[in-house]
Amino acid sequence: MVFLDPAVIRLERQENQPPTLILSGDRYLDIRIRQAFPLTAENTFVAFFDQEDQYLGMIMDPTDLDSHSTQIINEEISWRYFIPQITQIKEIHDRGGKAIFVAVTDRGQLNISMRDLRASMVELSPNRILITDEFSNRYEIPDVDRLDRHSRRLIRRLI
Amino acid sequence: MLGESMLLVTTRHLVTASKTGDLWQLLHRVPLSDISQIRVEPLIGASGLILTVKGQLLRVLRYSYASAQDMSEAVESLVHLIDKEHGEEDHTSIHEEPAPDWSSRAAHIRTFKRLWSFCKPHKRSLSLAILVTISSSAIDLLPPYLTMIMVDEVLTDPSQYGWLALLVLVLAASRFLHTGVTILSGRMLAVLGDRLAFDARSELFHVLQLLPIKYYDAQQTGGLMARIARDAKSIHYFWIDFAPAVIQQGLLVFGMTAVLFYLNWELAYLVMIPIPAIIFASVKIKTYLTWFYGRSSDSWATFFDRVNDALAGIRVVKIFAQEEKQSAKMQMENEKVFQAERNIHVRSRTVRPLLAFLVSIGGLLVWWFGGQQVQNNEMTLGMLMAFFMYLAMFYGPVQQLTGMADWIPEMMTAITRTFEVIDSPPEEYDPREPVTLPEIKGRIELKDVSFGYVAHQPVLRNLNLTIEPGEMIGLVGHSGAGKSTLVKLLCRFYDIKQGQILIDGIDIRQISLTELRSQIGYVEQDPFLFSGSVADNIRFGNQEASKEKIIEAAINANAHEFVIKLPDGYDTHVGERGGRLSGGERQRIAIARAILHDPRILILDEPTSALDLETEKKIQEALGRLMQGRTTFAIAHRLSTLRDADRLLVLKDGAPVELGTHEELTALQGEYYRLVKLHSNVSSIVGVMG
Repeated sequence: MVFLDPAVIRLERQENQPPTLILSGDRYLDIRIRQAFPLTAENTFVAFFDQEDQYLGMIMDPTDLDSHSTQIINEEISWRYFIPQITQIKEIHDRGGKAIFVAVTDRGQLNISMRDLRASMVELSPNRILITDEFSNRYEIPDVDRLDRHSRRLIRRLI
Repeated sequence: MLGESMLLVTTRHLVTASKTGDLWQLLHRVPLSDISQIRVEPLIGASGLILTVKGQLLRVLRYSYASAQDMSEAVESLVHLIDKEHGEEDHTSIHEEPAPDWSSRAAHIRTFKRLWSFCKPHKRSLSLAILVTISSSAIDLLPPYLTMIMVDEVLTDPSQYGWLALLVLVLAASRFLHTGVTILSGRMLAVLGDRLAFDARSELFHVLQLLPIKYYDAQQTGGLMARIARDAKSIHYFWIDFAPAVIQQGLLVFGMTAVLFYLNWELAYLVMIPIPAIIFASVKIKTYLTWFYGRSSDSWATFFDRVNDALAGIRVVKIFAQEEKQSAKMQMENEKVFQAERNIHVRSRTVRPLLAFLVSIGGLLVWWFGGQQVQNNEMTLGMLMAFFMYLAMFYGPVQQLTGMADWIPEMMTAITRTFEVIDSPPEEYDPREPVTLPEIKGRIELKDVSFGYVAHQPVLRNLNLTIEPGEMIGLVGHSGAGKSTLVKLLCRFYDIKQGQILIDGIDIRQISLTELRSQIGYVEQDPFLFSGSVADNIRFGNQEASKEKIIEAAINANAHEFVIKLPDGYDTHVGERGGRLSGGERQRIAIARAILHDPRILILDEPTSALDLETEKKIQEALGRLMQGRTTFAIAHRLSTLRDADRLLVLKDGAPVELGTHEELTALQGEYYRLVKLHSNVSSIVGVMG
């Protein structure tokens, strides 16, 4: 079977601890949650792994579970996948062969530096861009069209 | 040296003769009816033509590689003649459209026609852009005329202050207008040029996708990349930099000639004196430089090939500590590029000033004779100044046109190379009378199949076999026995000329290629993954597949567990050629790709070689699932992996020698038994060594 039956799955957790999965009555402590398509189908196709990182199975849509389990999954996903969203690009300049974006994200303003623009910027879909900086931090522009005019003009020069 | 020989074929006889001095000496005279077989034997530096005459082998001719193409065609015709002689009709010959010859002089006209076909969809924008360009030249006619009036009428008379102001204003306005029109035409041509370059690259790449595999056998990737990158741009140069300039400058030359004759016909004649010499020299230079541009293009293509090789094989280079040697090799290729470029640039930089000197002779003559006319009051100073200004506007275009003489060879060489590719005959995707094949059941019949990559050097010989739907056939044989060739024929990467391959009773040449290949799955030893995500690669053969289907295929291919642990799961980018994944991971993604493709016929070309035991086990499991219900051809050197095959076909030097199950062939103690024994000996040696 490709996917687990949502009816036999429940998640629970103590505050600030990794979650526990109850699968067909069996309890799996400290499980890990991963997404099959974290960039193209967020919050769906969620896979569970036990303490030893052994694959337990996956579900297609976490909202098929009870609301508490769904909430735990969503919290785990936002814990595991940290991708600040870029809301504004103030300037782009070149310094010693590195491209530096002075950007505002939903987590605050910062400088994003990239060594190889071509490899660092991936257009996931038209207007949606994933940026990986030289330290492997990741940032996302969910929709270039929704940026302000100045930011759009800067980013369009590069894509 | 082989000497001079002749092969002559009449409707009844084959005759060969060799030349000694001025005399031809008869070597063989064989009736066609006595010839039962013709074979070409590859030698070193030459090939031999061997006939089977009344059961005896007869060497009739040896020829160098220079004649290989002609001989190949001759032998082809000879085979048809002999078949006719024996009363055999040729059912299997295929008519192949020859690729057009782009090298001849007559081909230049065809090149121009093809160039026009590229521009045709944009003819309105091009015409408009050229019209605007011509307008800018027309505006240029005004300043010299105003200068003449200013010198002769206004500057000499202080009372004409108002006219001076007016003339300066008109001059300023004409400069302003000229600048605006030049910007407009430049921008229009730039956009059009980029569009044409885009069209050329698109068409070139599209054609490259449609060309048969045999085309790629003869080409190297670097050379083709150079064509896409550099040569395709030449079409842009032609239409944007060359054609409008020729039209504009050409019109200026004619216009200025008329103006010069109007101003002073005697001086105008003097101006024309160097023109024939300039035209003659330009034509000669073009011919002279063409050869050098051809060599430059060749050296660049080789250079790109080497760079491509060196970078793709960088790991091998480092492991063998060959960095310095590779650099030295690159240095040699770079040196060749340098020599070729220097040959061109030194020559063109030499001839261009010489041409300019020829052009300047006219100016000197005007100074001498025009100066005398001014001194004798036969001409005003203003008119002489205007004459010189127009003269500059006449010689400028003449010089530009002659300067273009060294563009032409480079551009035409590149354009011709581009069209050579674009007009190469593509694979015949749809036969003339296609048979629709809704879903293949998987019954495959090979009837008297013989094939060679080079005519009459068979790699496969007289293969007869029927495979039932769902059957697994293991192909066994030493390297070069013809196993891979057989599966390539099934995929129709090459067309057979002797025999037939039938799928569900239909000759594969009657099935549309797209339909045929959509039902064949191919898992090779070192699978190729495309730059993109894991999911993109799995759904390569079935773009509409849902995410559930992708996951299902990956689970069946034992790929899911490692994919889901990648940072971005199925969205992870695999890098160029899948370089960010291990060999076993790439292989499992390739199997998932084949599963999702859901082929009826499956070809496994050594998919588990060069893998560790655990990965091999996982892949064997995945392959087991993949093979269920599909007709499968499996090639493996590790014979133990073929034990589950329903039947094993043993090939030796292209000919089938044994067919049966593992048990049957082992009991037979023939070629298969020998190979198994050899393999187990090697395995035990490896075991002892390890």
